[in-house]
Amino acid sequence: MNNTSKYPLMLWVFALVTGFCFSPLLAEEEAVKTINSYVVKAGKAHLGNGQTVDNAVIVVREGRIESVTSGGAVPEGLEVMEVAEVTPGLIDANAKIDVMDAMLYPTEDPRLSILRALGMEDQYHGGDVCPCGTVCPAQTLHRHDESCLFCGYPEHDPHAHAHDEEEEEEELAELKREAMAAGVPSESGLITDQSSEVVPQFEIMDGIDHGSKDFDRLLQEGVTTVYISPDGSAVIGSRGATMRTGGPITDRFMGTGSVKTVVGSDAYRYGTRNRSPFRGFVSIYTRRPDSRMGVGWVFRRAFYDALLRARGLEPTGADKTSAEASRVLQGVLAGDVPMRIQARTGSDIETAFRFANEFGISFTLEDPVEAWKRVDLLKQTETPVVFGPIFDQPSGITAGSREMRNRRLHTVRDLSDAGIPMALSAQDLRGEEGLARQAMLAIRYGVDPAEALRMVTQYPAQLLGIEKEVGTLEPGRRADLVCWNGSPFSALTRIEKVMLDGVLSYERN
Amino acid sequence: MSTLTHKFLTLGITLLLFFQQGVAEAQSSPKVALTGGKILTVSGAPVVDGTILIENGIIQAVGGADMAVPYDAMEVDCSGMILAPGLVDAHNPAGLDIPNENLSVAPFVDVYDAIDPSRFFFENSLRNGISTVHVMQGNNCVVGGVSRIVHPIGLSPDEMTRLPGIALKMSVSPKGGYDRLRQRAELRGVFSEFDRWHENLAETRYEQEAENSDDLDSLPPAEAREKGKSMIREEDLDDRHRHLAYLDGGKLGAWIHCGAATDVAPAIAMIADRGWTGRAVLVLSGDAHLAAAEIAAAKVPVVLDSDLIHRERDAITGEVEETFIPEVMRQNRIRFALQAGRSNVMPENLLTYQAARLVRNGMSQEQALRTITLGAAEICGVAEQYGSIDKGKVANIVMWTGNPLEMTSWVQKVWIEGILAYDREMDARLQRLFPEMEEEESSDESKEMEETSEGASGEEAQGEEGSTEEGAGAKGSEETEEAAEPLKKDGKSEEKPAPSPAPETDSASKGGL
Repeated sequence: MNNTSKYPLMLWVFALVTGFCFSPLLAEEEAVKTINSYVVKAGKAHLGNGQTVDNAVIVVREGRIESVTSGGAVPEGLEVMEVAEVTPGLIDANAKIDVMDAMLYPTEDPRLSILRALGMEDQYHGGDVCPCGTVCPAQTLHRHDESCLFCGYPEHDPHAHAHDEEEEEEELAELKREAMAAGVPSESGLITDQSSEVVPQFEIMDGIDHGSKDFDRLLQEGVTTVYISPDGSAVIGSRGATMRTGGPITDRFMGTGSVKTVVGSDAYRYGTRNRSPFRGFVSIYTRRPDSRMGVGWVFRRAFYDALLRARGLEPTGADKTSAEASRVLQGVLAGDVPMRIQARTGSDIETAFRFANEFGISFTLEDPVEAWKRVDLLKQTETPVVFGPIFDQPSGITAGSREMRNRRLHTVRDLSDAGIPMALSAQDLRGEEGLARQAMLAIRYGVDPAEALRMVTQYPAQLLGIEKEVGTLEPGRRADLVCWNGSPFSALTRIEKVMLDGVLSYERN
Repeated sequence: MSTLTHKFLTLGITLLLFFQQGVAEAQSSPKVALTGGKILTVSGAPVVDGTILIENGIIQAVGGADMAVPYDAMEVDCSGMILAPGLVDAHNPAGLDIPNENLSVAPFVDVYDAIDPSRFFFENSLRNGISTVHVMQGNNCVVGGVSRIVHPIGLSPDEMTRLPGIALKMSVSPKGGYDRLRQRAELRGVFSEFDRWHENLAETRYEQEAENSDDLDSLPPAEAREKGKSMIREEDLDDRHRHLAYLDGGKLGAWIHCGAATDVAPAIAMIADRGWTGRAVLVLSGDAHLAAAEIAAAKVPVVLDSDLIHRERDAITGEVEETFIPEVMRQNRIRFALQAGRSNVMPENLLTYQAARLVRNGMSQEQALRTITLGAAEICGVAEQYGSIDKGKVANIVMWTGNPLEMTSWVQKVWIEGILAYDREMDARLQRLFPEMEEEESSDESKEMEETSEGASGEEAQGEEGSTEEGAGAKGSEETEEAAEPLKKDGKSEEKPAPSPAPETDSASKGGL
């Protein structure tokens, strides 16, 4: 693993030292030897827009691509790097990445939002300990004359929950096991906020660990830009973020993205907090929905509330949407805020279109496993699709929801042939099943290799509205280059070098 | 019954029999010639435009285009295709109904009893070009059962089995619920008990022989045991000890599972102590590769876990270090074989993809292909029959549409013992998951689509991050106008007719709202 920040520093130190020693001799060379200006000579350059250039000479200056020519002249004074084949940096438009402690310490204190939703904000005190002496998950301000909303104090016996660290650890472990059983991946997975079903005012950006090793890993696999989408455990979840996988940590954030919504079983099956009342005591953590119908209702209700508020009317009821959420959803209705709908099964895809029609919203379809059933619908509406992983069995999220049983290997080919704008994604898969291998599989399952490349470069860039910055090897774009030792996406070739903003960020030793 | 009917019936049956015979002959023709393909023999150089002559399931000759095809051979044109030996899966419990026997010490069992011919595993193996499977019990044992070599086709274990009694499975690493102390104690216990039983049997046998023979004098026990060893007959072995006796006597291989580096040394010591050298194989998993130097010194071949990568998180720094295990083996010059993954995740269960991973990490394509064919056959001790396209070997041949290690290649046909066992065009399950396109029409269509998609995607892109207006091209703007209306006038947007083109099913369900 190369450290991206150390490398230029060392070179600068070297340049300075040599500069002091031989300043009269090397003054000229020193001036041009910046780390993000050089020439890449490639046997073949895949531009990412469907075109290829043989014997390509790519001039990179100040981290941007200056020109791409076939057999062109090398500007004087620039270092030359020779590689076999080169593609633009890959873009994953639906990456799942570590979000720091999203479950236990979410972006906004979920207790506050719950209480706010219940109109009981005054009860919030931010404390941890229930008067019974245990750590109370509800953690609301206890009143003497009312029992605890979560544990039932004082009705329950506090001594049954004596403060025992070991026991608590065990309970936490049990919680984690439950979460695992529910399909929540422990490490690379992502937990969106579960304090409410409607949290479009949250941003995943707040939970991202910018120094996460996951970014380094993605970078090694040639992925230079990711769109991090929340998972599907809330019906209307938080907003995603477009991120660079390398470079200075402060420059990595590229913008806030769509509101993530879910039609399907994730929002009631997946997650640890969805319990129907009969499965335990009723508490504020007893959340609806418990079925697809419920998910549909929460979806509609959120938008109805937004429409009501737009007319100056205040919605009523304990499960009404918060005002902040409504403001964001009004943005969605007005077309200012983009929206993604995750719908995997054929019927869920149809439902997604029904909802979108109902409210006049356009959207991007995320993870449509059974898209092959409704290629016609997708084609007719020209809805952009983020598809993948093609083999999603290792993905705990999808597997846990049991929504992948009717996948077909030809889906990706059918979508491609229908001309549906599509981005491929590996979600939480890395390494052997990462994004490059998704493109490999797409080619195996009938997609034209040039199209497969566009599905991981140009199309996701267009989808994310960053096609002027990344996604193709064209003059003016950021110099995100992936160098291969042979034909990209072949099972037999590997990534040799990755440049991000022109900086050599990964090199195979 | 009238005589006429009877006559017709007889004629019918005769005709039927005749045709059946004809079909049967065509299918299991004693002579098959595969011509025109590029042959990757694995043992030698590839033959371009080569011919393979198969007779009675055995490869009779391999030659170039000039080789004569016998007049009575069924000729199969393989031009444009690549012929490679059927892949050898060196170790796999996936063909068993349950991979492990519950009893920790069960040397008396045989995978024969547990092979389930209806497992998808076998069907998938064939589809992925694996023609020879070493079916062995899983790693969760102290002393497990006996393995066998099967072909992944047939309706019963008998039909599938080609070579029974290949090796006995053992584990030095603790089985589920055991700790290392108990595991090792039980393992030692098995063999000390066996040795005692064996010595007693030898002594008894000597005494029996001495009683019946005038030439033999009765001897003190120690000498009687020594001399009696050669007098033990097959019928003297009981079920519990038979396979252990075969193991010590050289009839069975010793395959020992090592789940951690710490288990390698005891396994190697055991191999040396009990004289299994030359027929012992270590089945590695976990971090056992860390003991590569010891394995290399003992010259024991290994079978690797299908994951191939070992990940270790540093407890203090949290750094995850990845090791590509085959590379460790290669650097230490340890012979290794691979096994197909047991999940249905494609890259894992394709031996060819695993071989491609070896190539990505620096191995030559020839070596990588050899690892999953001849190399695996050698480690299983069946290289005389399997693993390459050579005269005298079993005619397990796979026809690939391209380089077997490329993911764009597909298994087109598989011959097992010269009989066509798999044909992609007849693979109903694959057709369902991945139907082939009509070649010419589809390519034209897709080109047209690409053109339209370019225009569309350009507009869509801004719809995602920018405003919804560009969402669906020109229509999108109409949509948003209509969508914005309810915001001003009333909230009852559901009463508005669907603005965007919706197919019949959609509008139908809308009516229900």
